[in-house]
Amino acid sequence: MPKRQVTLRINDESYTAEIEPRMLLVDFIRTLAKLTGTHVGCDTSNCGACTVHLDGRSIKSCTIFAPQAEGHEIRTIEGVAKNGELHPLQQAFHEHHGLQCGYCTPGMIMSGLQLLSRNPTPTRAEIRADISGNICRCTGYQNIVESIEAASKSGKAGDWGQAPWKGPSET
Amino acid sequence: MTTEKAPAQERQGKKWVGQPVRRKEDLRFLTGHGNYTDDVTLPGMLHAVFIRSPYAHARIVGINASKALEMDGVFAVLTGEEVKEMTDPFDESIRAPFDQLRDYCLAVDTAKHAGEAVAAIVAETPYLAADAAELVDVEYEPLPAVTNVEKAMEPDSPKVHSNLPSNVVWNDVFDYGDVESAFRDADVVVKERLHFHRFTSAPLENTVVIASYEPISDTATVWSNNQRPMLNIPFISKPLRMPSENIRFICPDIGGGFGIKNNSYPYLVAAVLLAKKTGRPVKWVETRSEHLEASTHGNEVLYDGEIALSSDGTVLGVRARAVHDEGSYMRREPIGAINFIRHATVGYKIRNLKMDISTVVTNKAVVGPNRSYGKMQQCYLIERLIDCGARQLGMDPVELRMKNFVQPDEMPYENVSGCRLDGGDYPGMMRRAMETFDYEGAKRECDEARKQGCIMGIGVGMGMDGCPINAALIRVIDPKRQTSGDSEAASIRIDETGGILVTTGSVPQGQGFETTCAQIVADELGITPDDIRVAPGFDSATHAYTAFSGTYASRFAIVGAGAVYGAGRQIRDKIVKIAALLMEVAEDDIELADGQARVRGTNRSMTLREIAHVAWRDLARLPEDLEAGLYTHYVYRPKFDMPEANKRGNFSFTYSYGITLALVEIDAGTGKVKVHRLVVMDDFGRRLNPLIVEGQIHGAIGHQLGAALYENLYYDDEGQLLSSTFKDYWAPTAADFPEFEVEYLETPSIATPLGTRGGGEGGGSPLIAASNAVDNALAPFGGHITDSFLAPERILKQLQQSSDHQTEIESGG
Amino acid sequence: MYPANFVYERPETLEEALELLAEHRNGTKIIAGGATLVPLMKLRLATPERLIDIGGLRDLAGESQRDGHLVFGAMTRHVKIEDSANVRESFPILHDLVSQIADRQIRNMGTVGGGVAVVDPGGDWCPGLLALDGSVRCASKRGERTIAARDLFLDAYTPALEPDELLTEVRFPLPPAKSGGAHLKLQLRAGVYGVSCVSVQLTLGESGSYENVGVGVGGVGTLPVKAVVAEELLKGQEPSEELLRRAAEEVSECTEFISDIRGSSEYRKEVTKSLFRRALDIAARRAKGETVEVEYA
Repeated sequence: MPKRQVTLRINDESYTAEIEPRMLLVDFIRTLAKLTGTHVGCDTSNCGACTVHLDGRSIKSCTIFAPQAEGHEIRTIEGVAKNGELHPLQQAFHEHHGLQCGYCTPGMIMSGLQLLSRNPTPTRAEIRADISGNICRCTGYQNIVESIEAASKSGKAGDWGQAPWKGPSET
Repeated sequence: MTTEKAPAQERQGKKWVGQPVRRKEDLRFLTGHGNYTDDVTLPGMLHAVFIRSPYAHARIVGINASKALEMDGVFAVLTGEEVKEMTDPFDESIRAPFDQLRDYCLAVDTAKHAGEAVAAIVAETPYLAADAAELVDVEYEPLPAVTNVEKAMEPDSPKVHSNLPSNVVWNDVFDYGDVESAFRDADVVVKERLHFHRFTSAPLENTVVIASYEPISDTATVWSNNQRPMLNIPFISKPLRMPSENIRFICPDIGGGFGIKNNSYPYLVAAVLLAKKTGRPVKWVETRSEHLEASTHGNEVLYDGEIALSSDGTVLGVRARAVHDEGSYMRREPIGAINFIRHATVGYKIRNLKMDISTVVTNKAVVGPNRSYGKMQQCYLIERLIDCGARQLGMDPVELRMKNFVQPDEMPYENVSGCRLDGGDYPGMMRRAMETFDYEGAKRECDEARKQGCIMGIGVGMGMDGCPINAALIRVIDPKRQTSGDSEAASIRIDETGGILVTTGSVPQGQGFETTCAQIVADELGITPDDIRVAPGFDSATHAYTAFSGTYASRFAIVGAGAVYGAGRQIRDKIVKIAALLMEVAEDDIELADGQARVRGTNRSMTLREIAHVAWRDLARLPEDLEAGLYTHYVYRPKFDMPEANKRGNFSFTYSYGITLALVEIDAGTGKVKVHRLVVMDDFGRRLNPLIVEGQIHGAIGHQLGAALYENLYYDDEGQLLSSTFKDYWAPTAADFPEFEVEYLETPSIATPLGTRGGGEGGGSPLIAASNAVDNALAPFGGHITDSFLAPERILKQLQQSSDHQTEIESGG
Repeated sequence: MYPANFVYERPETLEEALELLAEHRNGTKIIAGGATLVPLMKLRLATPERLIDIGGLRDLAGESQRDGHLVFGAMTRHVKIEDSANVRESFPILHDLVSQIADRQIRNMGTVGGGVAVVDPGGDWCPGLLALDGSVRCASKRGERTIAARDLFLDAYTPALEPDELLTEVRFPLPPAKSGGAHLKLQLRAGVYGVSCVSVQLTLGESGSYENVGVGVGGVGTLPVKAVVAEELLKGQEPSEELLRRAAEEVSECTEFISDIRGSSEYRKEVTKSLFRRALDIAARRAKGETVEVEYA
């Protein structure tokens, strides 16, 4: 089976490699781009530990082949803090103890960013519904909901994940 | 990264302990720079995949890997036959002749559960290894499988281990007080057959193992997200026929453990063997299916229980036969089966208790430590019996509990099995819970709702968690085993530039040890947590440890904190000694604050850095009998005793407890349970960090409510695990939980130096309250809960049987 | 965990895609969002030799109204339909349906074309399409054709498309006045496959009688089913407890109900009856102009 040269844009950088088309995006991110913040927690697209942004939309990177992501803008957890400064959502997780072992955290943050870009003032019920694609086993979700709500109320909106990357208009 | 500034008030001279300090470890996790085992790569590293039995029970006739080995980039295969040659079997905790149970890192001769690893293959990439695994041809001869624990006890049952006389591999009776008289004198006896279901805490990160091996020195390094490295090194060194000194164990960041990552040691052995075979480092990353099928399941128990009560609600005694479905190997069991003894009668003055416990092997996955290991199950038994007793007596279940609680002025209280309860206010907590829940108001709301046709119920549950564990428990299983007590170690080094490094043998999986350890040391040395570096993870080459090191049994707050506190005191004493010498004052005149040693009442001082510099570098200024340097290693050991002859003893040191009140509604058309309100009270003694403790409570609620409502490991009659992926094993999401109303009652433990109790496992009160609430909701319909898993289908059936019954009455049939 | 290898094609136009399909009729699968296909491939339950990624065919996405139909291009992501104010107001059954699919991330990736074409026994689109008497358009080098919903589902994972055909549009007839619908599902936990899902679409007559009722059921058998007997029973009738009870019985007999980890066939029948009654009630209320919200419970 032929390999395929693929260039992916991740966190505003380009990564080119020759890969088998069956390589999952999450494996490209972790082993070729060497960004290990995105995690794998299941094999049936249920847990959300692999959540990244594709053109500003949160997706499960274990459920897409790397070549499918060519021509799009991908953002991972490593691309959220800017110049060493935490994003207000990351800061809120820290303030409100929204993480324990940290394994679900990158996926939660990416989902939280996308939620707040769609809905800047969600109710707690809306938060719970929108992060239902991210499983956490440590926190019981209580402080995660707290963190996202606090971030939405903080008035420090900043970049919620839509600007500045300019991918092709989404299909 | 900021740490919370402590308010001006100090409690017992503590500035940092007891404060909700934000966590030091957060930064790397928030930004994707955690270092989990799968993030570790080594030069030349290869990837392993396990080939697993599709049958619950089968003879392994032959394994042919020739086609797979022909592929480019495929390096080696390991089979059970080779393992039998190359390694010794794992030690068992059970008595002869059952200690002949043979357990290796791969199935030998027969596969004994669906998903058991029968071979391993190693290749350049994980994708290639998966391709190669498909080409490994294993010939099986299926054998009859036994999946029902009661059938497994019958003499003509298929035997899981053909060399053992029976599947009942361990049995013992624990008889405390005078149970016979209690039941004879009772006004009411309630009998219940209860099933505690099989589930798993399923941490989000699966097991990962990396092994490298160096042949000339016969040394190995293992990286794994394992919770008990220092128990597992000697445990695997024997099978590997290597001195345990030759194995280095590194635990990077761990993505959740909850007990499940205690028993991954067979994989450690397999990985070392593969590294030996290939001459290269080998990594294995468990998939979620493998994790659900073949890592660890929580204790599944069938109880025939009875409770004896007098008509005024006094509980006279409890007796039960408990049959544990252990799966195919015993591994750490029967510790989970015997763990009932670590609190035995929960918070009640039950003076007569008899437990007849059997552990039975079946063709299912192996049972082992799982959050609140065997302790939650005992709480469930006692609490369900109490609730059923209340129902029979027509008494309010809260009132009945209040009547039987150990009172605060009776503390410390030695219960009937020898547990010395270390303080706590059970009735006070219940009153607080009722107030927060508005118990009377909730009861009225329920009555109103029922009149409108809603199916609602209220339930209460108490959980207790004895922690840590006295290893003498193993002597109760087998008197010839020479283990007892518990210990943990910590080290502190202050280098010549004043940099402070703390290490412990506690292996964190999200409990925030880097922060709490820093808080403890900061208080001792008069500095801030930001000034202290706590080494992350664990490394047997660099961290302090003892034979018991690890994180399990909620032990950190007792032994881990105890060790760090002891080390902090020790190094503090040395600093004071040196400062006093150098400034020529008495030691009593020295106080440590703001990073300095000051002479009280003057403005003379030295910085910690200056003192450290002298201790390391300016040695002629130190007296001859003073050891140079600023380094300390401290081992904390709670005062545990040997068990008494009749299996009585104090097998835990502290007894955390909690009470939950739940208000539930059942959907009449689907049987689905909705939790409207959940009020949870907990007391883990003095909180080192209230923010972290609250997080642990939330997590325990998540696991226990999840287990009650959503999580069940379903096996079919052929021994196939149907809930083998996250598609079918329903770990709950944020949308599945109500808002938790959590409150904390802090009564210090009288047993520990810091007043802490172990926390984190929770004792199961949310799970128990959910069962009791659903039982209460079904009561008007004649329904009754006998399984800890509240399956909507079963609940709907109970509702419908009642309406059929009603229809029969109405139609005169 | 890791799929078998395949050849990956990424056509830039519909013509290119159809050319590829015509050339490689066998062992070829189309990938749109991949939300269903990729998991199947990871478990090696699907092992196509060739994958044609139609993600770049932007012209295949979009919502429009045409010839009395609400039309979605096959590549329209679920999230776009979920966010469509028009769908929410004028076709709430479709909003119910799409917003209960899996979770946010899957809805961001999955497409309506994929959701219909994959014929997932537990999927939500198919019962909706059956209840609404919808249809799909498909294209091949040989031309275009329309397939009605009731002819579309041959077997689990098997739509009535030829190997060289590509589903291009999903169409729902715009309902007349005094119409309403609802899609309800029992999920034992948020985001997982349902025990049962029921779509009901109806139009009320002058006196409040059921002029027309469409009922689709999914998640209970190997195929999504149109409960035609129940539909016939209700047609032209005035609502009554007895009628609704009998109709629910018929719905619970509309196919062979399976037993699996989500429930026994008996349980599925009971749940389906309850969901049907509730969906019918919400549909009727919406037909009378009431706004009713449906969400995961």
